[in-house]
Amino acid sequence: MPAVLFYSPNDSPTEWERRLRDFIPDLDMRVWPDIGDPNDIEFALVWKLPPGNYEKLQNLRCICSLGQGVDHIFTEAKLPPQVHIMRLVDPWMAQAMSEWILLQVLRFHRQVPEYEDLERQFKWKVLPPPETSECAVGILGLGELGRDAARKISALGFKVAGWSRTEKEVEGVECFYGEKQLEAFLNRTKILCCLLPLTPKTTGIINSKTISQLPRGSYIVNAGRGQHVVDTCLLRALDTGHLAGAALDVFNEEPLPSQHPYWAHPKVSVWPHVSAQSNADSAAEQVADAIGKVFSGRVPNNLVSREQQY
Amino acid sequence: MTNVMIKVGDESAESYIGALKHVDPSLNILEWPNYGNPDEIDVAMVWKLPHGELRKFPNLKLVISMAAGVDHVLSDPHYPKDIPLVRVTDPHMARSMAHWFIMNILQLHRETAYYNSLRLKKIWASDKAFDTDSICVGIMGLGYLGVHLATMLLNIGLRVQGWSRTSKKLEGIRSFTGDDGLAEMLKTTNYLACLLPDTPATKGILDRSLFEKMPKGSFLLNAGRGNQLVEKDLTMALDNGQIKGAALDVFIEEPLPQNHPFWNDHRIIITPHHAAEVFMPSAANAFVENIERVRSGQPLKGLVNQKVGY
Repeated sequence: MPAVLFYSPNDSPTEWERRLRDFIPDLDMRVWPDIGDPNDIEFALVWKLPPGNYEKLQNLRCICSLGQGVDHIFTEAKLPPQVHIMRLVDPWMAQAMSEWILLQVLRFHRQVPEYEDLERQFKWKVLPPPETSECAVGILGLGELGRDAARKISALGFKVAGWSRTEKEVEGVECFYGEKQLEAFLNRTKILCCLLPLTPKTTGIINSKTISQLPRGSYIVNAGRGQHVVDTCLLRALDTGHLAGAALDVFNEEPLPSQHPYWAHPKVSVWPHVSAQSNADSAAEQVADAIGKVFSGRVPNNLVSREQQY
Repeated sequence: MTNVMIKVGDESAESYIGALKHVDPSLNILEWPNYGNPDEIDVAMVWKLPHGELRKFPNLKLVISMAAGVDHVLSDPHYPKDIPLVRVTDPHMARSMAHWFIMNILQLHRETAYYNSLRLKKIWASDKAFDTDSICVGIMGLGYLGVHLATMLLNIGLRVQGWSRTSKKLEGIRSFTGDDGLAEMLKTTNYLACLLPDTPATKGILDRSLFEKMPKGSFLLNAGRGNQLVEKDLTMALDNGQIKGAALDVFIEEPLPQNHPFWNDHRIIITPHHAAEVFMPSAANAFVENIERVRSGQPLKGLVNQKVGY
């Protein structure tokens, strides 16, 4: 039987092996760098494999990302052609992500940063209450994660719209698409949540131009990738007051360097990339399914387009 | 013509009067204490009116509580009991209340206080994963507000169960009643959400013996009334780990006194009794509808059963 390569700085190989063996009892899993004969490997289950390693795997047929994002695979310069690229679509992860997004939306909507300041001063004061039905939340990206978040924010009574590169339909959510409709989408959005995949087209999408198209006093929530945001533009907009606040879980450099201005900025909430993690419990079944298909010469589900890179 | 006497909190009633007049311009609304001739007052709309005031109006036909809780009226020993009392039943208010609970469940689950403290020290710690499935919310009080909360929790994918004095059946929610039912619900509840009315039976209900019926390391959220919580029992339960964290919107003494130990306790989220704000453009419709109903002798909406106290 062919072998599976495993590599991740964040996930436990023993946990994954145990879960996968529930479905494939005789699984031959090799944890990088102890991979034995590289020619045995047909399937790679990876998160941020150090560059230059895929080309050593002559018989590799499928690369499966251990997370929703696949940008860590496409940054590889020598990506073998003909290899399938797939990602996890983990319902548990979507739930965890929506939960984090809901928390940030509610925190901004209910003026929690202001109330936390008052609480630190032992001050009992009620601020003018905001009205939910007038609060416009916008989701950038309507993939698995974006759709789930949009539905749940909508269930809480917010006015929700989404933007995606191609046309999409989500019940109860006003859908915008393509570059032409991005401005109209931003114009109506008070709390912007980014759940886009990172591709050459979405890199730097939150910049001075797009930020200026949001109404004054808007908020930005980013759980996509750090590279979606041009940091200097975001900081400038916070300092001029065009933006009222930002909650960020992802950064251009992670861990966020200690001298970075985000850390101490009073309007920025820094989270250490904890919004949502993949989970062996809920995702093992679909990975096992993909391994089975690849080993028997079939095509796995949840493939990613090389051209679009998501 | 209907003459309405209004008393809101400490602020001016001007915006409330404007919203009511917008719905029914024929109303003659007078703000306490400048209500003119007490014989001519038909309706009293009140929040924390000094005790003894209501008996000054011999021709009063209806008392409207400006809040969901009616204890501020029923605790007046001179309250004329033959006059019907209604509470506000405003969907916007119910939504605001549900948001307060959802946001604080997520703040406690996602350890906002912990990440806030790391941010101050510029520490990046991405080692935690959060399991949504571990959350089981138990709601105490399945009235108008409790049912609204339960529905919203279900809609965002959380597990919910509920307890009430009289037995209630709700779709998708395990419901409990009576003392045995409460103990049964607490066994599997790790986020307890209290939305009970203030009655002799609910005073001090959130005490040490109740906390001990929950799994160790559970969370408490109270937006019912302050006197339902035995405050020193909460501090003790936090100290011994039985309760891991709490979010409180109501207190025995409000505003919470400057020297109260809760202020300095990082395990407790304090909000200044603002969980549910009355949104007048919407609530005014419900208020005016009841005024019209009492005028035409139709059954009232949100009528309080004065015997049970809610």
